[in-house]
Formats: sequence, C-alpha cells, structure tokens
Amino acid sequence: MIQYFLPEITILAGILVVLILEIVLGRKGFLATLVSLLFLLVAGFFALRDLSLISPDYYKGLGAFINEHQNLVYIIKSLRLGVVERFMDTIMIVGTIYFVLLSYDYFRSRASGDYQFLTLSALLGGMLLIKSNNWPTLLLSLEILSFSLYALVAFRKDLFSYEAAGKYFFLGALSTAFLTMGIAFLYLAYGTIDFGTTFQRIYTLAQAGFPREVIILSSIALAFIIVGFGFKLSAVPFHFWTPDVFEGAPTPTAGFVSTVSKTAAIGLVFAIFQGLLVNYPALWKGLILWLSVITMLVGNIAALRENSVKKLLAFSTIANAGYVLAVVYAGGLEAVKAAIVFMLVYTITTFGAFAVLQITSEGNTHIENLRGLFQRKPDLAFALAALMVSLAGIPPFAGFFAKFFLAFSMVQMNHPLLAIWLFFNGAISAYYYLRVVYYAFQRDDSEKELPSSRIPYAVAVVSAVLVLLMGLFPDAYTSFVDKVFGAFFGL
Amino acid sequence: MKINPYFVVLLMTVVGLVIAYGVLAISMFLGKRNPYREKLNPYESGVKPGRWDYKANIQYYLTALAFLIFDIEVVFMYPWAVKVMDLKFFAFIEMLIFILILLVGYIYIWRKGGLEWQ
Amino acid sequence: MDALVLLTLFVPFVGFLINGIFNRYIGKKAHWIAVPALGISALGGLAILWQVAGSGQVFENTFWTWIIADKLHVPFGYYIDNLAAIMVFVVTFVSFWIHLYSVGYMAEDRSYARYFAYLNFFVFAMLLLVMANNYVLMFVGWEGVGLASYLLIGFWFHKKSASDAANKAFIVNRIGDAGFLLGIFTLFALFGTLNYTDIFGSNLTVNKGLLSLALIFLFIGATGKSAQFPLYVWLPDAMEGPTPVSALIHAATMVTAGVYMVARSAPLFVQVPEAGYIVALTGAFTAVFAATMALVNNDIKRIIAYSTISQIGYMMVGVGLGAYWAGIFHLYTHAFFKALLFLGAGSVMHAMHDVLDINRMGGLKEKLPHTFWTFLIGSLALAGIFPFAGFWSKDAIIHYSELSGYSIIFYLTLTGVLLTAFYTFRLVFRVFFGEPRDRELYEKAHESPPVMLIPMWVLAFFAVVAGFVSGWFQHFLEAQLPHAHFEHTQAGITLPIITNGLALIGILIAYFMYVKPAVPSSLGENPIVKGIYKILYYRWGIISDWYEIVLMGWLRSLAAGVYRFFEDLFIDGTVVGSAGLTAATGNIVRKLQDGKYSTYALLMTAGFILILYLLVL
Repeated sequence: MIQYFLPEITILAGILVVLILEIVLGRKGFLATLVSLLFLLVAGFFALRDLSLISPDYYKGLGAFINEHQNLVYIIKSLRLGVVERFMDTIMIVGTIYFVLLSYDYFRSRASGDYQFLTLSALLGGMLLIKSNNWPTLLLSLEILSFSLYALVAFRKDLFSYEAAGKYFFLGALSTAFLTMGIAFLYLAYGTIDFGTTFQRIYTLAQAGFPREVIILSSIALAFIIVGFGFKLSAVPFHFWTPDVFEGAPTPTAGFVSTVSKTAAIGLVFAIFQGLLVNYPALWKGLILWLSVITMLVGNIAALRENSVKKLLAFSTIANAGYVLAVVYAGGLEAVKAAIVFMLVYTITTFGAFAVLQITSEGNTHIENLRGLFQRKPDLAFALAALMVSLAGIPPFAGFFAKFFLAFSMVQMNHPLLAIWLFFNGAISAYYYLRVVYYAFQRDDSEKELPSSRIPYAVAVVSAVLVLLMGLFPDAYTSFVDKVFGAFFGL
Repeated sequence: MKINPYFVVLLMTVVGLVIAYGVLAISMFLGKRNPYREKLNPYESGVKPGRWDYKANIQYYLTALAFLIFDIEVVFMYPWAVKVMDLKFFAFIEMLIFILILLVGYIYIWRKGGLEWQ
Repeated sequence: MDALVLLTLFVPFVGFLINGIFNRYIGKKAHWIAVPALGISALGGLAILWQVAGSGQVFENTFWTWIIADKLHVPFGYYIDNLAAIMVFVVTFVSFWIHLYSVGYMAEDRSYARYFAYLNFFVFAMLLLVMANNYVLMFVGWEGVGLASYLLIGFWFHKKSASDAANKAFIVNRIGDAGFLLGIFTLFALFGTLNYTDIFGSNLTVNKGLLSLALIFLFIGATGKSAQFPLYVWLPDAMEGPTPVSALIHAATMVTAGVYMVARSAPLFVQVPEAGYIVALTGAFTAVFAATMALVNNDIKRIIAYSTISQIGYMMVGVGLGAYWAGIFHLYTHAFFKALLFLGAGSVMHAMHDVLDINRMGGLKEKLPHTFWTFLIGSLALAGIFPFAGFWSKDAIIHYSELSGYSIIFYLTLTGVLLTAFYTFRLVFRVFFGEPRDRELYEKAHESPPVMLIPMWVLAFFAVVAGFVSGWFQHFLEAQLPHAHFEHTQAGITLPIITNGLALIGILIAYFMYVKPAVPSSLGENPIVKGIYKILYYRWGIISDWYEIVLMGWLRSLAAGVYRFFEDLFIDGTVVGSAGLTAATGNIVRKLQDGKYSTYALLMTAGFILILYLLVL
C-alpha cells in the first residue's frame, strides 16, 4: 500500500529532516537547501517512476487494500489517486525545485531549515489538495498550503513583505470562510462529506431528475465554494490580492504563488468539476464559462498599461488561469492533457521570467528598470525575450504549443468560439509581453551595475533553452503524456 | 406537503438567530446581576481591548499560539482512543508517527526560544 | 531533392545562427556570412525550379514526425510542386539582391550583424512557410515571418515610432493568425489530417458549409499577413524599419504569404467558388481603397506601401476567381518591380539624408541618374504599361475578372489601374522632376555606391523582361494546380488598349498637375516630353485648373476622409487594443486595484452575491 504514496511520504520525511536539521545545527542555509533539493529530486523521481509504471490496473491494489480494511484506514480513503494527480504532482515538484534554487540566491543563510520546512509543507499541502477525496481533507490540505504561503510571503521581514502577507492572509481567510460555508450547504444537500458518495448520489439523482430543493441548495453551495476556488486560482472577481501580493512578496515566492499554488488549484478544479460534478453540467458549466471568459479579458486588459513588471506578471497569471478554466469548461480527456502540458510549460516559463526579475528588478520593479539589460547582459536579455515570446504564445517556443493544445481540445469539444476568444486574448497579451522585451533592449546610459547572481542567471538561461527545445520537439513530452494516459485508461 | 425549497435556508437562519440571541436574552432576563470590576471586563484574562496605547508583550501571542496548536492536536487523539482496540498495532504506529511530528515541532519551538519569557 | 531542399532552407538559418550568436565578434563583417548564405540559397532555389520544371512531378518527403498528439500527426517535411518551386525561386532570388543592397545601405549602422541575422532568419521563415508539407508547419513559418518582421520593423527600437509600428504590425498579424489557426482546426475537424497530400488527395466532397467556414478562416489569416482590408493598417506603419526591410516585406518574404496560402489551398477553394468570390471581392475593394489613400500621401515610402496593398489586392482577385496562375504571376512580377521601387526609394533617402517628404524633393533626375532610370522602369511596370512586367500579369488578372462575369470586380480593377498610374507618376514627378524644393538638401545629394546600384539594375532588368514568360507560366502552373473553368475567349487586343489607355490618362493627369505648373527648364529640354508638352499645353491648360479645383479638391478630401476615418478611428480604436475603449477599461480595472483589502473584500463579496444571484435565480 505504501508504495503508492512514495512521493508524498518522501516530502513528509523531508519536512521532518529539515526541521530536525534546524534544531540540531541551527541556521545553515546552504545545507538545508541541499537537503531540501535532495528530497525534492527523490520525490520527483518517485512521481515519474509511478507514471512510467502505470497500467490500467496499476492502482487496483490500492482499491483492494481499502476494500479489505474497510473500517481500518480512513486516512487512505480520504485520498484519491490517479494519473492526472501524479502529473500535477510532478509539475508542482518541478516548480518547487525552481523555487528552492531561487530562494537560496535570495535569502542565502536565511533559507535554512525553517524556510525549507515552509516550502515543503506548502508543496505537501498542494499535493494532498488535489488528491483529497472528502471535504475536510480538502480544507485541511488547503490550509496547509495557504498558511505556509502566508509565512513565505512575509519571510523577507520588512514592511512591504508584511503588508503583502497581511492582505493575502485576510483575504485568504475570508475566502476559506466562504468555502467552508459552501461545504456546509453541500452537506445539507447530499448528506455526505465523501466525494465518492456525493458522486453516487448526484448520479442517481441525475437519473431520476433533481428535486428542486437540491438544485437550489447546490447552487448556493456552489456560489460559496467558487469564492474559495476562485481566490486560489485568482479568477476574476476574486483576483484582487494577486498584484498586491506579488508586488510585496519576495520574488521567488511570487513565482511559487503563480505556479505551484496555481497548479494545485487547477488540479482541484479539475477534480471537482470534471470529476465530482461532471454528471451535473447544468449547474456549473455556464458559471465556469463566464468566469473564464471574464478572467482572461480582465487579466489581459489590466496588464496593458501596467508599469510594474511584477504586477504585470500577476495580471498575466490571472489571464492564464482564465485559459485553463476555459478547458475545464470544454471538458474531455484531451482537455486534461492540454491543461497538464500548459501548466508544465507555464511553470517553466514563469519561473524563468521571475529569475530574470530577481536579477534586474530587486527593490524597483518598474519596467523602466529593465532598460539597458541588453547592453549589460545580452544573454539574459535574449533569455527574457524568449520567455516573454513564449508566454505570448508564438512558435517555435513551447508557449505556443501549450496554447495550441488548449485551443485544439476546445475545438475538438465543439467550442470554436472559445478558441477564438482565447486567441483574441493571446493577441492582446502579445502587446504587454513584448513591451517588456522592448524595454530590455533599450539603451541606458546610467552607470547602474547588475548584481552578479549565478543561480538566477543559470535558471533563466536554462529555462529559456528548455522553452525553445520544448517548442522544437513538443513530441518529446506530449507523447509521454499520451502514453501514460493511454496506459491508464486502457486506450 | 411540498416544502418550499427556500424554507430550509430560512429555517437554518432563523434557528441560528434564535439560538444565538435567545441565549443572550434568556440570561439577560433570568440572570442575577452582580456587576463588579473584574466581571465587566470583556475577557477575564488577557489584553484589554480598545486601548490602542496599551502594549501587549509579543511573547504573549507566541505562547498562546503554541498552546493552541498543541491543544487542538489532542483532539485528534480522542477518536483514536475510541478505535485503538480495533485497530491494534497499526493504530499504535500511526499515533507514534503523529506524536513524533508534533514532537519535532515542539522541540523546534523550544530551541528557537519560543517558550522563554524574555 | 532532399539535400537540395535542406541546403536551400537551412543555409540562411545557419547564417542567422552565426551572425546572431557571434554578432559581437563579427561586427561589420556580417555580410560575408549573410550574403553568400543567401547566394547559395538562391542557387538552390534555381536548382529546385530547374528540377521541378524538368521532371514535372511533385516532390514530397517527410524527415521525421514532429508532433504526435492523439490523432494529430504533424510531419516535418517538404512538398514541392510547381507553385512552391516558383515561390522558392522568387523568394530567394529577390532576397539575395536585397541582401546585397543592404551591404551599402546599412554600412553605417551600429547593429550591422544583428540586422543581417534577422534578415537571414526572415528568409528562412518564409522558405519554411513555402516548402512545408502541412498546414501546421506552414503556420510555424508564418509566425516566424511575423516574428522576423516584428524584429526588423522595430530594428531601430530606440525610436518610439519604430517600436510602436513593430507592435502594431505584430498585434494586427496575431489577429489574422488566430483566424488561420481556426481555419487549421476546422480543416482538421473535416479531414482528420493536415498534410497537403492527404487533404487534397482525399474525397473533397465534404460538408460545403464547414469547408467554406474553414476557407473564410484561412482567408482571415491571409488578410492579416497580406495586409488586406481591414487588417492592412500595419503595413504603412511598417515603413519605420530600414528600407531594404520594406523591400523584403513587400516583395518577397511577407505580404505574399497570404496569396501563396490561398493558392496552396486551391484544391479546396475550387470546391467552394463562393468563398473564392469573397476573396476576390475583398481584393478588388482593397485594390481601389488603398490606391485612393496613396493619392494624397506625401511620404515616399508610404505611397509605395499603399501601392503594395493595392497590388496584393489584384493578386487576391486572381487567386480568388480561380485564376491561380494569374495571381501568382502577378506576385512574381510584382516581387521584382516592387523590390526595385523600394530600393530606389532607399537610394533617394540615402541621398537626401533620410528625408521622406516628397514636398522637399524634386529635380533629383540630374543628381541621381541611375536611381531615376531604374525607378522609372519600376514605376512603368507598376502602372502596367506595355511591355513592362506589370502589364502582363495585371492584364491577365483583369482579363479573368472580365471573364468571371462579376462586373463589379472588373470595374474596380479597371479603376485601380487609373489610380495606380496617377499616384505612381505623381511620385516620380514630385521626386525627380521640377525644381528642387529644398536647395540645401539638393546640393548635398549624391548617387549611391555600386553595391546598391547593381541590385537595382538587375531588378530593373527583370522588371522589364519578367512578363514575357506569361504563356509558359500559365502552362507550368496549370499543369498541377486546379483552376476554375472560364469560357475561353481569346484575350483580344481591346482590353490591353483600355488598360494602357487608362494608365496613360493617369500619368498625364499627374503630369499636368505636378510638372506643368512648375514649368521646369530641365524637363523642357527632353524632346519627347517637350513635344507632348507643346501639343497639350494650350488645349488642356484650362482643364487642369478645373481638375485641380473641382475633381482633385473633392478627391483629396474624400481620400483624406477615408484615410482618417479608417486609420485613426476605426482601426486604431478597435483592432489594435491599445487606444480608446480598451485603455479606458484597463484604467477602470486598475483603479479598483487600490491596495486596500477592505475594498478587495467588498468586491469579492459583491462578486459572490452576483454569482449567487445568477445561479439561484
């Protein structure tokens, strides 16, 4: 049984080890970073191994175990495991590796045991969140993720950092309150906290036709729940915290919030809407559609005139959440695959961009501050250009294929208008992404020196090369996703 | 009889309000009044609210937080205690791991000086 | 063939890599890499054309499968038939001379190596577009061309206008690209594959409605890249780039992509003639519409830019009506004389210290004799005067538009002939004839170096002779491309007389508006001009005044109104989302972002209440 949860167990062990490290050795930033990376790599290895072993009856053993020990293992019954979750895990682990690397450059000795503890806890929270199989587990893992993030946002320990953490915390608490209320209503409607049982009841009700009070209770519940999810996804109109938190948070943490936390939220939304409520489309389809349509537009339009690069990336993260929500609406297996590819590419690209920002924009995130990047560090400027062009979705960079697959799955599910909307938004977004490139290539006559930070430099360049390679050979990873999905669903 | 579906919501709201305010009202009417200084404080212990110039020691909050954490974790031991005889050795190991995790956190607080009153 | 294709395609790419990566070390020696690279590529293009013409078969091969996602298989391979071979030849050949010209034109630029790197990449992307054997690979080239044009239009990115123009070009193109992508998706939905051979070879009797939808989507893509109404706005602004880049964009590597794409999809367009009619009508309208805007412009490069939009409109008429060979033939002749005109304009700018305003020029005939004669040849070709190249191709298109029976298209194309001749020669007269209007600039003007003049003369040669092959061209393309069946009446002598007459009228109007009032002494010595001048002076003198007051005043205000209305209000405001409404909305959205979490909490709750309201009621 234990072999199915090796990545999670590895991360949990890592959490304990880094904390013990801090207790025994005190503040050792380098060592703690190294240990943390080691555990992340091992967890990533286990996750990939899991994926490569998958066959239609790979998880059968888990089900059998649960059936045999019916009243024994409530822990296991509260988690669900499948190929989608494992892919999301892998993406989150990749994001966290990026985060740990950048954090070491940012905090040096302060990135010690307790910092790594928060990092790994946030990751574990995210991993459990997408696998949660009942509402209390969902809430609990959501809080593990959120509280670690609040602390990480505040970790720079200055006023801006505190302000950002304060906003994040208060608004996060508000959204969790809404979520909890929604769960209560859902319990009222279906009388169970278990996803599986809820699913069964919805299915039976759907056959018979829903009673009116169940519909109303579910609608109320959904309205409440969507606040909680929307907050984590930063979907409009629950996105307001994003730019402010990004602006105040340490740069690596902003990257973490926009990638790992976002991936967890998307995994969750897929689990709830494509899994739990898939038999009940009338309830949520329209809502998700409008949420996605508006989120894309607001994110992109707000970014047009934005002068702070960090805030600009915050709006870009909002817009990207809209793109993925659109495939949640479209549905289908292709949509899930497309979302996985999209999140992987998005994680790599966004973290690469944040790595550049960490070098150029510390203390001053104004876009003017990028001026002269080309004349000081031409390779960094080219890396930034590649990453931004990829975000804008232009071939031959990976970002194009990510968006291409999204649109492709939409068209396959007969939603061409949504694909048009996606590309229309892509056209708007090209403007502000390229604006960043424009400033990076402007001349600057001041005597400013860029800090010589090797880690973010390497991270940025490697990301840019990866984005290019993934664009030139998209087959390398899409065929893997295809193969695993094919093996899992026995296609 | 067909119940209006909104009725459930309404009922929940009404019952909630009735219980909350009802209890307050009952104690207001029935209770014996014996006001004295300590009793008129909003909290019987801790910081007096509403006085912005009052500086509470930050240590107070830290200790309170640590207390809350370990206090609440104990709640998880109650269902465990009920089921422990059925679950046998497995549950024992589970609880050991659980306590180990808590212990590491506890030692961390201790080492970081969270329990010392400076 | 494999080796030949790879050589032609990747040598420019290697040139791009070398100049791009080592640009700091190469500096002023960049042309030693870029120009030979294009030379090899051009020879390769010639060899490909030779082989294809000799064997008369379609060459196709797949190197590897590039994307496999579910049912979608996208190979990386080439598909070279007669059409692609002609395109490869035109692209590489014209680009080579533009590269050579750039050596002189860009000699003093600081970012010399970067310029040549981009230029090579531009050609590579265009070749990829042309040689691809499926729509996705074509799209990659398509986007690569867009990217390269973005980089080159914004080449002098320290100028705000240049970077704005680059952004505008890119964003407008993205809108077209979205259409192209949707067309690709729809084609995939219809045929389950995106390879040319599979699609064209399959049973084409699919759902007509869906097929025309796909074709309309494809055409939207073409309007973006080929600067057709209403997505033409980026092209005049694209003049912010270096002039050889304009020549490249207009002649060889970019705006022709849309025409090529429509011709490539000929087997599909033949199935739905109605979709082709929309293409042709848009083209005909654009041809006249762009020409009216060229009438009043005073910027030497913009006038030529509008003329490109107009000429691409003619090509669209050709391919839209199913006369694919005529459209592509015009593309081919146009490449020579349009490149020539731009290189000539660049030479004028070179002489006049980058002045673009034709009101400050005049009389340059003496100072720049080579530029003048080549420019004149280009202009005659553009105006469609017998026997220059433009005459053959434009007449073929007009002939087919007459045969097609859509009289509106026929009359629009005829109107276009008159306007084209007028504005072209207005430009010639204003720049090269009359008294110099800016003495200071005039005195300093000097002829360009040979490295710039040789390409101009070579292109001028082709602008004269390229049209003579029209019979062979028709036979060559129709051997493989399907085409609409017209009732074949032999092209008589009437139509050429009408078109040439119209063009001559246009030239004469221009002459009497811009040359006669100035009565230049230098022009008076030219015996032919003197003769015409003497004959016409007394007879037409009064009419030219009348023309100026009534017709031209009216025409000018109309054209200026059209220009301003579409350019400023309609297009800038809505298509390029950086002005007006969008910016205002953006500001509102950002105003809400006031940094107070009480506001945020309030807005979140408001959003919740809205959702609750929508869901429950």
